[in-house]
Amino acid sequence: MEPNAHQIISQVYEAKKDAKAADKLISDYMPFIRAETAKFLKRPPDKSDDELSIAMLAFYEAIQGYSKLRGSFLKFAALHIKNRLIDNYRKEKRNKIQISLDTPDEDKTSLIDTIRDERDVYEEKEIRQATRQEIEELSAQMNEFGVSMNDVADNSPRQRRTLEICKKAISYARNNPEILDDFLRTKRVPLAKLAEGADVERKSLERHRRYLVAVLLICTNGYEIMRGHIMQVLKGGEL
Amino acid sequence: MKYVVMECHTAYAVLMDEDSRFVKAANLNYEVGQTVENPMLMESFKQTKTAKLITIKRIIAAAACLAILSSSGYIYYRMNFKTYSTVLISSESDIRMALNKKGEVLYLESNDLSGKKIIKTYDAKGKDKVTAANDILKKELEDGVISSGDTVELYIKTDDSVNYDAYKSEFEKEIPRLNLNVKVHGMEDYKKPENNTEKEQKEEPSKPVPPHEKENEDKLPEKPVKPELDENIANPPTPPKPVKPDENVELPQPPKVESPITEKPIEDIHKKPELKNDNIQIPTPPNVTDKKYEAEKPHTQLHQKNPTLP
Repeated sequence: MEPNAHQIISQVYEAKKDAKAADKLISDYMPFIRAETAKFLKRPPDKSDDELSIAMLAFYEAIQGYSKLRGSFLKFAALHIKNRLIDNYRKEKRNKIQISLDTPDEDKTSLIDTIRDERDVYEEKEIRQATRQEIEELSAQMNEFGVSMNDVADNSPRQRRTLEICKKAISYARNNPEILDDFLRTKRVPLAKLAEGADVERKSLERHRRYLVAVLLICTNGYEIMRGHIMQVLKGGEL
Repeated sequence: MKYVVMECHTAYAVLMDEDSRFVKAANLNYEVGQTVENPMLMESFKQTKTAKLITIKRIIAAAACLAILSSSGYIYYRMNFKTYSTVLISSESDIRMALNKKGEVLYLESNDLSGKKIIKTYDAKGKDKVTAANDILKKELEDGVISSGDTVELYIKTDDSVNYDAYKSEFEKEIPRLNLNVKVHGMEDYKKPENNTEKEQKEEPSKPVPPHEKENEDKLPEKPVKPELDENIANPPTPPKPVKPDENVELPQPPKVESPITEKPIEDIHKKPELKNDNIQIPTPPNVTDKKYEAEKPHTQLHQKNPTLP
């Protein structure tokens, strides 16, 4: 074990709980992540390389998945980065038959330059700006509830059945605006009312309380773009 | 599926899909508010499950290793250290060889002195049974315990009949080279010679017996009888006859002690002379309570006047 192994382990355990600590640890170990990526690419990685981003994600995954039982953290992280890069390489290999839009032509012009772009870049930029504003507002409002985006991502339902239960509760809240008002006023998720009204188990809702905070806030007035985004796949446009 | 980038971190970004699910994905230079497709989603590390699985695997591996080690150890022990068969070399001295499965000698033991002597000087551990038997018999020949042409009986004890036959033929082949008549039997034919115990008794160093006990040596094995009084033994000294107390002599008066324990015997002493001799005047005990230490006076006077008193 390395001499500063205990320090790394304590940092990793801290990073598991705290997103900022995780970001700091990743920044501190960027040379290590770069080195592991360079080993795979057999060249120093650029900032724009997807492999470097994937390696960073793999490092973050290693932080989240590490336990003392697994031995040295750096060895564990190095192995995970390597495996992740290999997986990505195999995935990309399947799509190799497709020609990249960046492939240069005989005239040294890339394929993307020859294709007519039907997208309205300016409109897209405006939408992105508006979405960003909405997200910033949502983040601020979520902070009032003591919930961060990171928490919501961790607390989000993964199984289809659980997602359906949450959807039922949210739909019930949307159909009963007094519940949403109550939610905004008290800054507490009315789990009992939602469980009773939507006829779902309260325990299931309790497990995903932070996720419900985020989605219930989106359902309130003011987050039209995001509401539109999550409504696209729902039949009848109802959540 | 389309995802909206909700938050960007150094290594990852939080995205929201069209199903209102929030996920973490690799931050491929994303910006907040950007809509992306086919992101590199973060793998949910099934930590607890994997950790448990690893632990279980480790335990199973450790248990398997332990089982292999213990079984191989047991086999090794059985092959090399467990007594599988016994060969008794019965000549003038009985020497017992404990053999392992390979037919190698584990240890030797004997109850005879001559046998013990041979065992002390000869280390047979790990040697082949025939070699050890030959060496032992050679030693016995050298020491004069047996002489050439004598009959030596070997008794084999083994659970395996094949082993018995093999051992028997080996001993019968190899040992006659020493000019000895060898007879090999099973251990069930062995009868412990009765002389052995007598021999041992004879050879054991006799304990020094005191002269007065030597005379009664023949009687020793007999059941111990209560010893009769011997005439030769001097009469025990008769206890001195009690001297008749003289009339003039004043009997010592024991000091009267205040404690109730000492008061009783004082009374008894006073009573005896009353029964025997009525003439004796029993002086009244001085009042000790008043003059505590005066009671000792007559005691010293008595010794001075009549030193013959017992």
